[in-house]
Amino acid sequence: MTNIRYLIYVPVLHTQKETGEILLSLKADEAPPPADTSLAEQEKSVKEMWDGIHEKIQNTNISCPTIRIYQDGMPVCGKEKEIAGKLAQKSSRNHQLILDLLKKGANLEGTEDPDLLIEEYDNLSHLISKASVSIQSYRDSLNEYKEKGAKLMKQRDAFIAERIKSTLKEGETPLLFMGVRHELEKLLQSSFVINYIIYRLPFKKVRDIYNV
Amino acid sequence: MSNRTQKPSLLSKDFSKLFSPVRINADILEGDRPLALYEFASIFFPNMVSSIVALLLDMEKHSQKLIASIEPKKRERLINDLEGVTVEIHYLMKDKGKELIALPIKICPAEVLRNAALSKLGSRYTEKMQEEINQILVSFIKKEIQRRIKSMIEGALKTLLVKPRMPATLKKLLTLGLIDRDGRLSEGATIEDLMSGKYAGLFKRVVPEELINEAMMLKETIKACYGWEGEDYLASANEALAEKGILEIILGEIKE
Repeated sequence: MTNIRYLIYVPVLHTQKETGEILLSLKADEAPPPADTSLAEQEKSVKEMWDGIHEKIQNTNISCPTIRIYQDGMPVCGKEKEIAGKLAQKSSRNHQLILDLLKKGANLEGTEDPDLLIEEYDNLSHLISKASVSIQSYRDSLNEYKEKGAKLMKQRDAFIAERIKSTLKEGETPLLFMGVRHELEKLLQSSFVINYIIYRLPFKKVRDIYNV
Repeated sequence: MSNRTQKPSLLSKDFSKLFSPVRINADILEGDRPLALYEFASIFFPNMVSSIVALLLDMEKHSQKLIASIEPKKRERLINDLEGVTVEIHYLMKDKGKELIALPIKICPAEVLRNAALSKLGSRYTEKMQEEINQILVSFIKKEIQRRIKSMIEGALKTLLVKPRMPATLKKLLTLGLIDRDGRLSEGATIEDLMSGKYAGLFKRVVPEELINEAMMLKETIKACYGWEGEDYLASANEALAEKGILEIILGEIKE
């Protein structure tokens, strides 16, 4: 009899506060003007979302030592905990939650290919350099980034999927924190039953039909 | 300076001045109709809309190759003879007599020939139009999302309404006419009003917070996925900057 393997998938959205903290840590001349304060409502809902995720992970009753965490942007480098700690300090709710789970015995796994992350970083740097030129130049560059980004994302997803399959130990449950641009479900659904810890993308069918 | 008037949007309510080949009356596409219709179309007319658009795009993109083989004199004569002639295909879907989806395709052969001779690419069926078609599709999805959120919330309200001791805040929602006795939202009450707008405080006391969070999260996730904030330059730039910032911290840590 084959054992059903479950995987917990958490989509990651950053709050404006953590975005702001990160922006502050960058050079001032690179940053575009701060975003509109009318985003407060969105900020609130994303914050509530993280509280909800925290609670729901606790409610799954999965023993923390059997959880293996895979995190968007976390390179395979041997310094995963330090990185999580540093980002948690920068107000990242996502990483604060990871630290909390680590304290309770969960395991954090290096998830991404560092070379692909460097490539992503270069693409983002190019995009941002255009933001300071003009809105039009940024928009043109954004289209270019999206094209390049889609290809790169496929490579990143393929690496992550392989990484999960090769590092997960018997009896462990993978817990994935992934940005919404990732499409790992496609690569993992043949090996795992995916449990979206929040009600994520039930409209996939609609999306497929509309071929968007 | 050009004095050309701006082309009306495919999403505008006044379709009369519209020249683009696709127009959809999104306002009357409610409930399960979009899904059912697209399921029907995907079975019987696979890739219908995209094929027609592709055909039109190809026609204007590649027609200069075809026209190049025609002698200039013959081409000129053809243009003159076809001046004012239009080929119109009107594809229409109706629901109880009301127009649902229309594909009013209008081709002016003389214009196509003239553009092809001048090597003008995509004079009419441009990226702008493709962008608008995408917006229409996104508006469908948005409608579908709102419908599902609405049904989720109405389901929760219905459960509360059958309880022997109805919560006072629920009574208030009823008194205000925001919901009816079956838990359905009244016509004037929008999901936005209740979840994040003027009645949010009242609503939160009735509906479990988790449900509101999920509905909001659902909205935000889809928003992020389908780029409803596509035109929001600052939000997009800040998002990219934050993402870059996170990677900068991570890559910096590896180097140390």
